[in-house]
Amino acid sequence: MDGVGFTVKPGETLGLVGESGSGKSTVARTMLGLIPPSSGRVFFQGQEVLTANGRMKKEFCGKMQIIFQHPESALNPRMKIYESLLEPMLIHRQNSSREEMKIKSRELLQQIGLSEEHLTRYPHELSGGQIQRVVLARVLSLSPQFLVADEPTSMLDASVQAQVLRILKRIQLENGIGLLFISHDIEVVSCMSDRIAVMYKGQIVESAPAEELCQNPLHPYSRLLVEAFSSLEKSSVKQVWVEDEKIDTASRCHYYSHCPHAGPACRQRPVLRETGAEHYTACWLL
Amino acid sequence: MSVFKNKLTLIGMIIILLLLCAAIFAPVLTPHNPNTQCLSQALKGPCSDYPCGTDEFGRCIFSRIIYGARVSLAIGIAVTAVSAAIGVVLGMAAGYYGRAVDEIIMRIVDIFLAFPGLILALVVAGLLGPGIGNVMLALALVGWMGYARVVRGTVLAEKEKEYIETARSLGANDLYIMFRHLLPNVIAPVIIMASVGIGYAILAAAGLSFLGLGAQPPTAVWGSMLSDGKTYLQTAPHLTIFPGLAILVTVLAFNFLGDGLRDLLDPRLKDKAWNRG
Repeated sequence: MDGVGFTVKPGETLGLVGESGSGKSTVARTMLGLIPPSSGRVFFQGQEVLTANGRMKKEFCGKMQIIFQHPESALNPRMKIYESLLEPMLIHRQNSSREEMKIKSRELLQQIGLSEEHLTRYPHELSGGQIQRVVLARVLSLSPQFLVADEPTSMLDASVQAQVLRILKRIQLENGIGLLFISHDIEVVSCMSDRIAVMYKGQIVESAPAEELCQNPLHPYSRLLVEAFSSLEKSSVKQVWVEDEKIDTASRCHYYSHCPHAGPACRQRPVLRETGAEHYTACWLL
Repeated sequence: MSVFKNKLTLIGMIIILLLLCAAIFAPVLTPHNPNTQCLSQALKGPCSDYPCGTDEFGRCIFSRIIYGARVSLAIGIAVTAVSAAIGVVLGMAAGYYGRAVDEIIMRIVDIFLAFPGLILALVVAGLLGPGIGNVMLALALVGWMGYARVVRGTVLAEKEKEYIETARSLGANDLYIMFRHLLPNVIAPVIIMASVGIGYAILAAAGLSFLGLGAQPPTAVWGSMLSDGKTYLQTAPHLTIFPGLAILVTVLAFNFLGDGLRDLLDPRLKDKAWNRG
């Protein structure tokens, strides 16, 4: 992964798309300090996150939250739902009394549309959609200002997916949370996001407002993605496979071997350039 | 209550409960003082007065077995608790921190495993001198490696799960994650191992006291009763048969319990245990 840079404003959603292994989840985990980066920095409200420690670190941990992909391992299987729900508050020692926490947990349940009977169950007794909602509630309990959703619905079926996404969107708008929404599904991302960034092999190759990117993708890889989604049958973008051993793979464009337009210029790694209003693309050919 | 549906587990539990009662209420249950010698009654076979006969000093074997249950159970439980505690803490540290910590702890495990367990215990107990406390210490020191390995392996698998990452992203510290999240999820195999381990510890303690390293006479211990009785194996076999049976039944009971607990302790497997009947 190199040269990944972006900002998420409060209340804004940045969608991050890319194929499996393109580094989306690595970006997410690095931002929250779950994976130590070899280099690079992350700022939250103007303060550096990764080098923070002690109380500062704990504060960041409360304000930046993450939702993961797999509902079946998102909650501790041996903790009842209410224990999982109250855990963030216990760690951060927010609500001191048991009574307060009970009230708070009821509020949270209402926001995500689960009933009180679910509280005393174990995670394996809940469905995937219910668990993702519990996870949402748990995240909310610390009133985060920035949320990373790492393919939160890819393991759910379509109807449940829509339901969870609606709740996520509503909560985000109500609380003005900055959201980084990661997915490989460009359709979902375009519904959820204000801006979209396309990742390919650890690099952001294009970044534009959601509508702009769907209407007018500029980078050959984004075009392939959008085309594939809009028309399954007649894709006009051809994917090719070029293997040229003479070119040093480390320095050329990552997309070189798949790009139908690859030319001599592409032997150098391109950087993000402004190619339109708020539209940035990493391609020499534009 | 699926545990009662498995007959062997049930039998194991009943035997263990009986043993515990026997150990607790030993003074009430025994017909004779276990240490009173009555040479005129020596080497008598089982009869109405002495249910299991008497030994070469005329002591009631039945009473000595009941009192021996106290020592045996205490040794079994204490040894297992201490070795499981050592194993869980070291195994969890190895699995959670990885790298150098893991490497060091697991090499220590390898070193301990390189020695035959009972021989090592014999050496340790020999160095420390005879006595129940020293035997317990020796057995605990040679018994923790299995727990450490199992816990490390389970932690390695479990710490990659997303709820651990979530806890870390919430700002939980390492100790909290290890004891609140990891421990409950790795403890099931430990409890299963421990319930079988109690049996083995009793067996090993019997072995050590057979060799003269356990509790000192006249304390009644199953192992040393076997050892004392072997001189009369031809003429009065009941001296060895009854303590031997006591050891056999106890170890078996803990094994049955361990097998049953394995089916019971995982909430995700619980439904299966229900259905099997």
